[in-house]
Amino acid sequence: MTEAHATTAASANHATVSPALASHFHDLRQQHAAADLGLWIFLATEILFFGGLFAAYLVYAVLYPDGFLEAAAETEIVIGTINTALLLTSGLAAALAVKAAGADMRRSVMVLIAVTIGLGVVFLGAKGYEYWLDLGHHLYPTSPDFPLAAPPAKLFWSLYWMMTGLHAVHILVGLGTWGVVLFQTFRRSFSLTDNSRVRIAGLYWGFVDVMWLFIWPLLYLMGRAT
Amino acid sequence: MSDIPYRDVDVQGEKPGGRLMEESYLGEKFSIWSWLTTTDHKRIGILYLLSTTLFFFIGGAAATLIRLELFTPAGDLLTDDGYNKVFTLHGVVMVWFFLVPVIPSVLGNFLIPLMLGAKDLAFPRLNLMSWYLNIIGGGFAVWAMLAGGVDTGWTFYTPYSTAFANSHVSLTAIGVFISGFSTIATGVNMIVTVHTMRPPGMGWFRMPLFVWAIYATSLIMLLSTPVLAMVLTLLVTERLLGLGIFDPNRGGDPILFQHLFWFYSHPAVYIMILPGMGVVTEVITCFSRRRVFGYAAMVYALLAIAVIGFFVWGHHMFTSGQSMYASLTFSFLSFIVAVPSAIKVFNWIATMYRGQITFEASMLYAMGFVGLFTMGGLTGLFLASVPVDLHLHDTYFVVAHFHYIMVGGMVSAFFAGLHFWWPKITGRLYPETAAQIAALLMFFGFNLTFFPQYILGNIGMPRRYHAYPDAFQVWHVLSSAGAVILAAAYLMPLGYLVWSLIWGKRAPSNPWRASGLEWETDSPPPKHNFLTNPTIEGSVYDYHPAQEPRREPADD
Amino acid sequence: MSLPKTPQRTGRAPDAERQHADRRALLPPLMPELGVFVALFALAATSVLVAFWSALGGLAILACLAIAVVMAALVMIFFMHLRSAMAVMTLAGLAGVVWLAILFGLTMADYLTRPGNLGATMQTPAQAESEAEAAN
Repeated sequence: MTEAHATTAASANHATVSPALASHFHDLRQQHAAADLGLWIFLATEILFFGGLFAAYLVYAVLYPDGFLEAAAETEIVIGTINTALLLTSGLAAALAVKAAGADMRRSVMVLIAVTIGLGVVFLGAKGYEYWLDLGHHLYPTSPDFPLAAPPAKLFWSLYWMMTGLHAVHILVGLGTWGVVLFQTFRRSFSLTDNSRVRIAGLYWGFVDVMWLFIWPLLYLMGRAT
Repeated sequence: MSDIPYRDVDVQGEKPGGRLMEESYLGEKFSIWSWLTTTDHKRIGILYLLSTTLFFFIGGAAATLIRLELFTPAGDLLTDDGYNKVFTLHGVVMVWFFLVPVIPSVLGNFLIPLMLGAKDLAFPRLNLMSWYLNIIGGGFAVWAMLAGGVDTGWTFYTPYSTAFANSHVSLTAIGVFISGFSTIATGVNMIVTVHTMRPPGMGWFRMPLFVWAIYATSLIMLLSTPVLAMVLTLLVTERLLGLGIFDPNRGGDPILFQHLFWFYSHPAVYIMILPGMGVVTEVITCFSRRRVFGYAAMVYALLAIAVIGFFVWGHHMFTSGQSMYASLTFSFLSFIVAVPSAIKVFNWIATMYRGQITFEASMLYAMGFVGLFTMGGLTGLFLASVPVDLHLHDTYFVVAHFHYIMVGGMVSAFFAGLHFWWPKITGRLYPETAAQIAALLMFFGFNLTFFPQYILGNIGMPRRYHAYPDAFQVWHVLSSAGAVILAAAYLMPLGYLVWSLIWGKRAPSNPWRASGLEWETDSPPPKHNFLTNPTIEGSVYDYHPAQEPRREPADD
Repeated sequence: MSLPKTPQRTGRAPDAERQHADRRALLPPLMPELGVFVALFALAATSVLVAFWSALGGLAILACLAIAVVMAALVMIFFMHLRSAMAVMTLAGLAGVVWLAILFGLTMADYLTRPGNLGATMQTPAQAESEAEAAN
C-alpha cells in the first residue's frame, strides 16, 4: 500500500497523496481508468437505449418507405440544421475544455465550459421554437387536425417526438452536469488534473453530439430529394 | 442485523499472530442511519439481502394465492380479473425485484471485492444508489398493486397493454424502468471493478469462476436492459401521451414490441441463471475437494452463453405471426445455446467424479441445482423446436420449464451460496442438520410442485387461466400439495438462519477449508476487508484429494 | 488565439516555465480539434447537399447516414479522445454498436422474410375490416 502510494506520488510529482484519491484505489491512474471505463460502458448502454428507438424507425421506414418520406418532409430542416451546427461547435468547446483541464488551465476551462453551456442553451431554445411551430402545424399524432393522411405518418411523428424529446432530456442532463462542474471549477473545489470530472462531463457531451448526428439525417434530411 | 452479538468479538487489540485487529464491518456503527447511508459493499449487500427477501415473500404470497385458486377446477377464490392481477404481480416482483438482483447484488456485492482482494467496488456511491433505485422501483410496483393491480402479465404485450388494459400498467412499467437503472448501475460497477481492481498476480484466467459468472452476467445486464428501458418508455408514452408506435390503427406492429421486449427478456433469463452457475461451481469444487474440471472451458462456456443468449429471443414468438424463416433461424440458434450449458453440466459432474464429496447443506442445494437445471434446460430444447412449441406454447409445460430454470436453478443456487458464505457474512455457523433437511425438502417440494405441470401442459392446460376442466384437477392438486412443502422449505431457512445470528456458533475464518481470497480474511470481514494486502499464489482452486500427490496446476 | 496573460493563482507551484505559460493562456492548443471541427462542418454541408440531390431520390438518406457514421467516428475519436484512451474503452463503445447490429439484424430477419409485399402485409384494423366486407 505505502509502496503504491510512493510510486504514484513520485510519478505525479506530488509530495503527498492527492486528496482526490478515493481510499479504495491504489493510485490516481487506477481511479481515472475506472471512471473513464465506467462512463464508456454507460455510453454503450445509452447507445442501446436509443437503439430500441432506431430499431423501431428502421422497421417502419422499411415497411412504409413512402409514408416516411412524405412525413419527414414536414420537419423544420432549417432549425434542425442550425442545431446540428450549434451542437458540433459546443462539442468542440467541450473537447477543448477537457484538454485544458488536463493541462490545469483553470481559466481556460471555465471559458470553454461557459461556451459549451451557452451553445447548449441556444440549442434548447431553437428546439423549443421548433416544437412550437410543429404544434402550430398540428403535427402531433393525437391532434384531430393532423395534416398527413397516410397512417404511417403518425408513426413517424411519434418517433420524431420521442427521439427529439429524449435527446433534449439528455441535453438537459448534460447542461446540469456542466453547470455543476463549472461552479466547482470556479470555486476551486477540486483539482483539474487529479479529478476526472471535466473529462467525464466531456465524454457524456460527446455522446449527446453523436446521437444527434444520427437523429438529424433520420428526421430532417429524410425525404428532401423530390 | 446490527445487533449486540458482534460487540464482544470486535474489540481493538492484538491477535496472537501479532496482526492488528480491526472492527468488523458489522460492528462499526449500529444506527439505522449508518446503514442507510453506507457505501461499504458488504453492508449494501446486506441491504439487498433484506430487500430481496421482502420481495421474495411478496411474490411468494402471490404464488400461494395462485396455487390455492388452482386447487379446485372452479374459479372460486379469485375472480378472473383478480387472478390476472395476482399472476402479473407474481411475475413482475419475482423477475425484476428478486431473481435479477438476488445473486449479483447480494452475493456479488458482498463477495466480488473480497474475491479480488479489493477494499470496495469501483463506485461505492453508485452502488448505494443502485439499491435505492431498486427500492423505489419496487415501491412503484407495490404501489400499483395496492392501487388496484395490473393484469397484463409480466410481459406487457401490446396491443392489450397499450390500447385496452385499464389497470395500472404505466405505474408498474415506470417501476420496472427505474429498477432497470439499478441493474445497469450494478453491472457497470461489477465490470469496472473486475477490469481495473484485480490484484497483482491475478490474471484473467486466475479469477474465481464466481467472478467470471458475475462478469458475464453484468455484460448481459448492460447490453440488454437499455432496450427494455426503451420499450417500456414507448409503452408508457403510447398510453399517456398518445405517441403510439405499436398502434395497429396507424400501421404499427404489436409484434415489434415483442421483438424489443424479448431482446431484453430472453438474455434476462441468463441474467437469472449465470450467477447461479458461478455459485454452484464454487460450492461443488469445495465440497468435492477437487479442482474445477476444465476451468478454461467453464469460462468460455459462460461467455458463450452470454453472447449466444442474444441471438435466440425469437423462440418466444413462434406463434406470434413472426416470419417462419425467422422462426427456423431462431430455433437453430436456440439449440446452439444448449452446447455451452451442457459443457457446464458435464464439468460440474467431472469435478465431483472421484472427489471426496461431503453433503453439507450448500452442497445439497448445489447438487439439486445441477439436476433441476439439466431438467429445465432439456425441456427448453423441446420448446426451441418449432413444431413441438406450436403444441406446447402458452401451456403449463412452458411454466414448468422456466420454473425449473429460475426456481429450481437460481433459487437453489442462491440458497447454496447463502449457506456457503453465511459464516463469512455474519460470522456465525448455521445449524447443519436443519439446513440439510430444508435443502432436501426444497428439492422434493419443488419437483412435486412443478413436475406435474409438464404433464398438465402436454395434455393441454393453458397458462394464465383461473378455472379449468375437471380432468386436470389431479395434477393441479399434486402441484398445490408440492407448493405447501416448498413453502415450508423456504420458511425454514428464515427461521434457523435468523436463529444462528444470535445462538449460532462463531465461525472461524475458513469453516469449509475452501480456497479463495474471501476465506483469508476474518469472519465477518473487517471494514476494509483485508488487514494486509492479500497475495495471490498457486492456482485459484487449490483443492486436491489427500491421498493424491499434489500436482502442479495445469495450463487452465 | 492564446493572447491574454492575466496571472492565475493555482493550487501548486509551476514546475517549468513552459507549463506556467500554458496555464495562463486562454485556450489550450487548438489542433487537432479545430481541424476535425472544420472537417465535421464540411461533412455536414455535404450531407445537406446530398439530401436535396434529387438524383438519389429516397435513397439519399442512406448516403446521409453513411456520412453520419463518419462524423460520429470523428467525434468519438477526437472529441471524446478515444485516440488516447485504453483499448478496453474502444471495446466498450464497439460492444454497444455490435449489439445494436444484432438487434437490427435479427429483427429485420423477421420483417424481410414475411410472406407477401412488405408493408402491404401490415393492415390496420380498419383496412382488414373493409377487405373482409369486400370479400363477402
